[in-house]
Amino acid sequence: MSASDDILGRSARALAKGIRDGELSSLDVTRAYLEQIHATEPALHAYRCVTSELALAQAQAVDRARASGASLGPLAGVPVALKDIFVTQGVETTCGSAILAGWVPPYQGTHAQRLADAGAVLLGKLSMDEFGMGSANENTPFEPVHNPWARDHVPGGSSGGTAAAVAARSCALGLGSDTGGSIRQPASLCNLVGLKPTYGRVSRHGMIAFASSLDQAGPMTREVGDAALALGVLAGVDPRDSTSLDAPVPDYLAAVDAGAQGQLAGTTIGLHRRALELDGLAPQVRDRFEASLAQLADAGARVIDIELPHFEHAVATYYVLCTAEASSNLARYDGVRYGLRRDRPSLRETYEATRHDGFGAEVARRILLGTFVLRADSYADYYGRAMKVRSLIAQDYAAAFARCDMIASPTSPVPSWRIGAKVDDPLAVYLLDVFTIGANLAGLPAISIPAGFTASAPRLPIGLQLIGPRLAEPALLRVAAAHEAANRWHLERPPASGGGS
Amino acid sequence: MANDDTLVGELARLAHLELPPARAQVLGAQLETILGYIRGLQAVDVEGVPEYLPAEQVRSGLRDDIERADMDVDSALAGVPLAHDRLVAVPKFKD
Repeated sequence: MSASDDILGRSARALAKGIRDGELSSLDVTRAYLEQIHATEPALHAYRCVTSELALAQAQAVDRARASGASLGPLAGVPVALKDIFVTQGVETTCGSAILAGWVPPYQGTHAQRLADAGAVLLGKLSMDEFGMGSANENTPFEPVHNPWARDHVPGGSSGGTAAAVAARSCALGLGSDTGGSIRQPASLCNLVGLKPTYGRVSRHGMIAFASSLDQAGPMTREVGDAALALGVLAGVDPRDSTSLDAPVPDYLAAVDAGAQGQLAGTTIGLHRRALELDGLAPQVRDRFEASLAQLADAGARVIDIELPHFEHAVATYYVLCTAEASSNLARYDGVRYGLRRDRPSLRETYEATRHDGFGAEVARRILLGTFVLRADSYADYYGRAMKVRSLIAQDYAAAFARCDMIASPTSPVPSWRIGAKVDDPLAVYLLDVFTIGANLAGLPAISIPAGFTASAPRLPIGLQLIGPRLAEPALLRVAAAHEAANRWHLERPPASGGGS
Repeated sequence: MANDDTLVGELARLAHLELPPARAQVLGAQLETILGYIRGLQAVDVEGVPEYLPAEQVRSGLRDDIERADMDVDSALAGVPLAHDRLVAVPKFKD
């Protein structure tokens, strides 16, 4: 095995330890990842920009710090990349939109700052669906991202660039955002771990807003331990986000190490059996889900049936609320304060021309829908009603968690699909969020973990989702680690990463 | 709603979106399909149900009211598409 293969094959946690112990230099690690980016990008288009000079300078700083005996942060020397929704001072941040093309933020967001404070090396910014609106990375004015497991297939979305980059070993860990499943679904489609924390667990400062009551940042990684490592760095109250939770940050790695022992006695997992009767649930996804559930039971977990009476209303509720919030949040892009500007004789014409040229079709669709549900004539029947159904959905989860520690389901009802296959049917794509959006509506933590592959060609990843009560990230990580310990899916390498599985 | 061009046009006006007729027609049809699905919410009994509020939201509260350094004017203006005399340039909106 070459030195580069050894580096790329290690988890982020192992890289951090190797650098801390002096076994690896941060500069060598960073160079290996930059070479991997150059090797994989022509086929994948996962990156919006690569910050090579910054990365090499940060890596050298880590090596100097270690040589001087200074204490190193938990991610010292680990090469990371951020979805382009995260604001990075001095580095172009587009949020996947033409309306922000060329915008270089004058301030640092909390996520980039906390990662830097922990010693992480920033490799660059990753492609995404425009403003986080999409499930396939096809809603973009830039190049669509390709799935490393099957290049003519989508990587999922909206954090599809992050998923493709982590899966292809072109960053050691990535950061995504999740408004309705945008961390978990691409993680599922790319054989990764994707963790959406409890709403408020991670600050939203410096994460460009799509739907503020639903948005949450989280890690996307190859292994469960890496997600725990990253969450430990990112979590915690932030004075710049008044919705961030002022709650202690537990030792997430300890939870992973406990789970890796493979013993789940005392853990109760809820199964919403009715959800498995969905018309759109692919048989191969159901088979892999049932196999994973059986593994968790073999490890000692008790599986019980639970009910989520308003489950089938979650997608409609979500698309009322997220579009309403988006129509309000995106009003700020007007050609005056940020990015693109189309000069016209009047203010209104400037607004309209700028937004026409700057927003893609999906964003325009959601802004119009959100404008409709917030109109005085529609408010009570749409937005107000959806907010009440959201209460019922949150109550359903609370009732379920009185009986179980977490709820298991498939992450996505289908594996990845061919690029372009669903672009003309937005409702069909919305319905694919059926398993993930409940956690966003109720503000709950959820994780997607690798659960195997389709048996038919092309061989495509399938994910298992676990949803827990508020702040139950340690329990989710413990069970996820137990599942990982019983499998080897996470060790497989996709064809487009330069190595076969 | 989709076939009501007036309504789609009104939404576009409210949203400050220029919407050529061909695009309005396509978007209108798609919105009608989506709204048809969303109208399924009308069947849910919400009598007496309050609108959602995070029940256990722990708020960190307001920031301390203390003076602190913020970004300078030049940095703040660096990302503005058009500025005059170190001010954001706003198109004329009143004669």
